[in-house]
Amino acid sequence: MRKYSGSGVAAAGLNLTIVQASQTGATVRTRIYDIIVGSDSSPADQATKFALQRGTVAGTGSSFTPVALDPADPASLVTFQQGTFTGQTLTANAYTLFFAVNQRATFRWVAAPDSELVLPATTAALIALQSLSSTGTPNIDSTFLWQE
Amino acid sequence: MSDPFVKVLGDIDPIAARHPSGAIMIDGMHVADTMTCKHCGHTWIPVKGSGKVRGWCMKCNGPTCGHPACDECKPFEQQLTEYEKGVLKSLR
Repeated sequence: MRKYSGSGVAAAGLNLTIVQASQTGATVRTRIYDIIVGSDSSPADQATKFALQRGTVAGTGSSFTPVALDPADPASLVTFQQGTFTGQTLTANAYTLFFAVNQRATFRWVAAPDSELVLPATTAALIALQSLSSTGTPNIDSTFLWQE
Repeated sequence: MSDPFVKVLGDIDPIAARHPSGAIMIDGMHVADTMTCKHCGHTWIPVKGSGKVRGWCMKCNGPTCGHPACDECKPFEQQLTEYEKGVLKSLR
């Protein structure tokens, strides 16, 4: 099982994607086991509601090359993107996790073994970190760790 | 039972799960457990007094999210396989 990391940043807002992990092929299932969310903006009391949402069309964002946690591993089969997205299709109501965080806090969700968020082995299947609503527009920094 | 979590969630009163599917940490402190539906993969924080009705699948021996579509036993792995084959049109 190979493990990878991807990070990205984007401003919070209404129904905006911060980062997303999408399948480039249909060979393996991707299992996201660790999600970290924080902010690098100047400290302020802004609250943002997030959701992890499934999707079927990755669209175009700003790419981040996933980093293999074991340097001997080959490149990841996941496309990790951040920022402003175009042409993305998210599945309505397919939310795998909701949470809300104050900008001053750093949030982390860690899955127990076999309870990861699973991406099916289908090209362009994705899970996106969505900012559903926010009282401001702070930068949201997020890191996903996953295994393939 | 004593409260196992650090209180940073205000009025929200998370319950410690016997078999949590994950953990939530705020600023490095363990503040809540999460549970995952055996049928759709949805993850939630069990909260005392939330009013949400969840389920339990005797075949999967695990919790379900309470959505009517998850009342019938159809393990998430089976749904993934059907989705990959195009039999299932979408994942919840």
